[in-house]
Amino acid sequence: MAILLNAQAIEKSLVKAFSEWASIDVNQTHWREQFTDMSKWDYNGETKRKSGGPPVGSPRDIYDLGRLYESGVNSFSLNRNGGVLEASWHWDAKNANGIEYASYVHEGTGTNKTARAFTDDVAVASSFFLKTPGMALKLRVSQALAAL
Amino acid sequence: MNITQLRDAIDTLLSSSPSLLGTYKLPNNTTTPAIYVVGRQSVPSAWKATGLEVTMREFPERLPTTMMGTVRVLQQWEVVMMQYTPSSATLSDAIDRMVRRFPDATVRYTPGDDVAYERCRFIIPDMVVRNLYPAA
Repeated sequence: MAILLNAQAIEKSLVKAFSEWASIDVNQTHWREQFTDMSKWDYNGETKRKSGGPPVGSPRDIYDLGRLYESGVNSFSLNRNGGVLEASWHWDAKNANGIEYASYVHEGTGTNKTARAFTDDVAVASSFFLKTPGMALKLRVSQALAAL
Repeated sequence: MNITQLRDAIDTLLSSSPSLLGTYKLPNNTTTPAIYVVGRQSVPSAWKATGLEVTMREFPERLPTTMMGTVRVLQQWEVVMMQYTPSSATLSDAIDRMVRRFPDATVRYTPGDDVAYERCRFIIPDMVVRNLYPAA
């Protein structure tokens, strides 16, 4: 027996899978893990945290006061443009000089000596499906299609 | 690909005429091309870089996928180029040569500003299939 599926139902289910992946697996789980996982980021030297406590060395997390983390998570948006559904983030936290500093942390420039590329697991295409976010997306899509 | 092959490939690519590589000035006033493999130690702080510096990590990130009797390993090599002479255009030319040599690389370019030097990071994928160890 063959079952003919409505193309709109497939599309709707894929849109739902992607939206849930972006808002839950990435915006909630992945960014938190990237910002608070101590073992992930090497760093040269010690820094006194603005959040207080003893100076921290390496490895260490990049959460500190959480301003950069919050700026990204709060900027999350899902935009549908024709047949394209796009999730976007803008890490727009600013330093004392009013300059956005996300790229300094990400690429290891300015006062940051080591790159801590917290978006790479999502942004680097060659390894996307081998990292946690890619595996989560595959799972969401296969579950959505199986439920049709 | 191993780190020696990667370093040689990039060295050849960037030092062929006209050479785009900058120089390190060592504490004893000798100079050497500004290309460095970052392992346990990063570039010694006493070395002064001018022009375009290229650093690469000694070990790639390895992402394995199990297959029948083998394992497919995606290795990702990270190469960073930093332009220490703001007026120079060599980084742009170097990126052009790199993308033509490594077309599947992910390129992340950061323009220079009053805080940071102009720089570009490449993540070069390198897939290998390895037999399981020890052999059955």
